Amino acid sequence: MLVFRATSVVNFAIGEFLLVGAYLTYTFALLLPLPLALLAALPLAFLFGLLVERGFVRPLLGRSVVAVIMATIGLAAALDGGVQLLWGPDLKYLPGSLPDLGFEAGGVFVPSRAVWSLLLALLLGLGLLWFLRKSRYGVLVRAISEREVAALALGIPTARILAGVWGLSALLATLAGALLAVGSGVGYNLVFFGLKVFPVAILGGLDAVGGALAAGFLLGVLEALSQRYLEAYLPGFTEALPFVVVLLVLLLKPYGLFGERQIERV
Amino acid sequence: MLSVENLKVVYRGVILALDGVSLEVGEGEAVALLGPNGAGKSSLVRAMAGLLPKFEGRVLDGKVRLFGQEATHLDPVRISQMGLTAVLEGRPLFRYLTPVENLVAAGHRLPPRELKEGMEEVFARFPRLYERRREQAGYLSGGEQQMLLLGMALLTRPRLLVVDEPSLGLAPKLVEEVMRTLDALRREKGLSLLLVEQTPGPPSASWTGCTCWSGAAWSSRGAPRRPWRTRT
Repeated sequence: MLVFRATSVVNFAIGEFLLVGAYLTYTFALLLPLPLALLAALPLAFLFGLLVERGFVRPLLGRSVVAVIMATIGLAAALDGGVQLLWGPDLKYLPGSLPDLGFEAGGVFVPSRAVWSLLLALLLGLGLLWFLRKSRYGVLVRAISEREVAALALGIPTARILAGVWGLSALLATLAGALLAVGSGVGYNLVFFGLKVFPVAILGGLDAVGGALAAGFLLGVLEALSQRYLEAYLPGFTEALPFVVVLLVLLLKPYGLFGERQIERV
Repeated sequence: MLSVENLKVVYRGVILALDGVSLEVGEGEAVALLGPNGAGKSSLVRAMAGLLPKFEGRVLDGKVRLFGQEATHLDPVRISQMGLTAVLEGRPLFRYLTPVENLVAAGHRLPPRELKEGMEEVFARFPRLYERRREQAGYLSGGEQQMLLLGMALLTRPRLLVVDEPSLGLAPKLVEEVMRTLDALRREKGLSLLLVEQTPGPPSASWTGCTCWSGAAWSSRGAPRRPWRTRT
């Protein structure tokens, strides 16, 4: 989504970014304690994002956005295969775990993993929001995304900054991938979590970070409710639910719930 | 400090936009480049700023020299670092960003302190911008946008400022204000100035040189063959 915001390219390989990040973390976790392994994986993930940009996106610069999107789909397929070749098709479990933050409140047990997810998601979401809204780098990213030629005319090194955005996106995906891996192991199924990103992002508006946070929360709650109440009547419906909701919302609000409308003023 | 020699520009390999243009701007000079619609003025600006590739164009022949260095095929980032800032036509500001953010983006090379001082200077010069500094720049009036653009150009710390049709869509009174501001900037900052316009501006601007494309020199393709130059 960060990538879309900055470059208007929808990265369909985001699920694979998650996967690669998780496997990187797993590999380091064989040697290091888990938090350290994650820290070690992050710079590599950033580098991986840069490489993807250099290899798949930069050469297509100036072509239509669709070409780049198709390239990310191809990249996704290649990474799927590559990851299985490198790490094997079986599910891997991360050795070690994060400190237990689970607690019981009012008879409801909140598992450690949920607490970690929430904490990390909030932290990352707010961090990203701050980064795009307030930091100088974020201002440049938004400037470039709006009008690249104008940015170039001001001498802003657009290519370098956009490459950084891909790196950052891979880094964030790694954090998410590692978090999922702690709970459910590292395996191909992580890609589907990556796919779930799309309903969330579309619902929130592809360019609104705060909206994505809210949409993610909303879809999560809906999914949980459906799991509990609808699954008995409609088996498998939960998986499809986010997409159904997105379809309905888009019919009514084409920019997503929180997407910015374009200013039309000359 | 800027010299263009026999510059030829094509778009998409076939559309000839400039066919041998020459031009010179000296230290501290203010030169006006005048020509009608479609004469290739903006192509010349793009060529000088290294932005042609972004418009599917390229320099076919000829030379651009900047501060004594060859700059014909340099990339825009490098050219900007050398001290040429081009304000392109069509008010190229960031409409979804606030004036403050526009200035931050423009001053990307400055260290934080200098950026802050530079912004204060811009706001002191254009108090109206300060009042509306937190609104989206797309909602500013045409005159305010033009002032913002000048402020942004200043924060790139240029030695040579090229402005493409700043008067477009502005009321005569505002045009005069823009010209006065440009002239003041030139004198205060020791800038050189190349102003690209369709018609000669109001007399308030004190030009040291003027380059025009004469009607007689039009080629059959509709592109000017040779500009001539007068000194006032």
